[in-house]
Amino acid sequence: MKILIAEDSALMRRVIVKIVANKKFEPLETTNGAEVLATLRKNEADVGLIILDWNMPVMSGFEALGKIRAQEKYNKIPILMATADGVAEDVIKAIKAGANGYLVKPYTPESLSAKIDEVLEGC
Amino acid sequence: MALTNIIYITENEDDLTGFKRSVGEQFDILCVSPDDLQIDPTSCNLVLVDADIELNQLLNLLTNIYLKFDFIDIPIVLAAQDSHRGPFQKYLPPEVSGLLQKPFETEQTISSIEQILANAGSEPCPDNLLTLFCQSLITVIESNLNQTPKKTASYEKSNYLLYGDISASMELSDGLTGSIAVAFPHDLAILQAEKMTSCNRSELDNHIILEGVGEIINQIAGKAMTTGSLAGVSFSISLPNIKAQAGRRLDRCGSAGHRVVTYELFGQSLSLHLCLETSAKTAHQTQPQTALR
Repeated sequence: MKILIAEDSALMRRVIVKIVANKKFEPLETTNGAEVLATLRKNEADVGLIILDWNMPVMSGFEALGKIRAQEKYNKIPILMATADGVAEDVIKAIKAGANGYLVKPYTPESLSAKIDEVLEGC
Repeated sequence: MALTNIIYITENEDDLTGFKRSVGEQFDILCVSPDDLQIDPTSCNLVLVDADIELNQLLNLLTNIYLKFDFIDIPIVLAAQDSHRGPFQKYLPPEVSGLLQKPFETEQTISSIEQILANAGSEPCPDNLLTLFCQSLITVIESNLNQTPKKTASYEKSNYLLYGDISASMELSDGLTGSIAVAFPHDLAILQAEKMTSCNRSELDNHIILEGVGEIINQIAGKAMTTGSLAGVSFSISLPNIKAQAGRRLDRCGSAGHRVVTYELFGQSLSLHLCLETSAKTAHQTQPQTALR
């Protein structure tokens, strides 16, 4: 299964890719929301989870979340928001917009790994 | 006040005479020509620059002074006629600490100089914001690097220069206005990237190391947003702006001072920089970028 990672920080992408690869998933790396949508179009059948940062250039994770959920064909792909913003209103906003899980940075590799399992099991 | 040495850069004899007459008993004054910048930065407390010259000429002069000082933290002050105060306020470069009005009046001039020397004429960072961002930094560093940074100093800096080889800043808006930044020495940035990614130096590209510093300021801002929202402090953040450049300047915001908090981490020094005020207080816009940048 492929996990689509949207994270503008190259360092954080490296961190997430390692965790995803350790879990025997195939990571697909993107740096903003627009790249997520483009990558989804190319890998429609294979993406089993999207990990979205919120604060990214070009298109934010939240905007991408809305655009993904607006398309029926992507409606069932689980989405995990993994972001520095832990403001309660924003968490609620993301869940209402269709995120299946929310993880606030800084997180440990263990907590991201556990959150990925939790989101996949819940969907 | 202890003996203060002021270097006055001017070609105008009348201004120099007026300045000496006004404050000569209080301060040691040395006159230097703008064309021959023989300045020893270690021998003065404040540099006063005659600003009644053409703007580009002034900006070039300030750049030359700045290079001469090599990032030494000494207030640079402009002296201008009343009619010039508006435009100069608008274009005031970030490293300029204040303006003195010509003709010099003894009481007002001494008071202004004392204020500039105290804190560059700016307002100190509010305690609640200082605590919020310092605690966020500690949480972020502890979580990512499993090490508690030790605070070594906290003070208002008289200019807006950042420390460190690599710095990352973010602009804040909506509730708070201003900028925050962290600055790392190069070796600490490498160590941080190694620890966060569990990779060796040879496996890390330079841009990963730079973006590691950007990620730290992003997480500090995010953590402060989260914690602040519970205490009624809400704000929005920009994307991190990362630069590998010593002597970079923090964007100046209104009358907010530049608070620096330094920490020791793995035997090296990192610094947190804050230039913040609540949006209600920001009656005027953030200073524009100038030709000196």
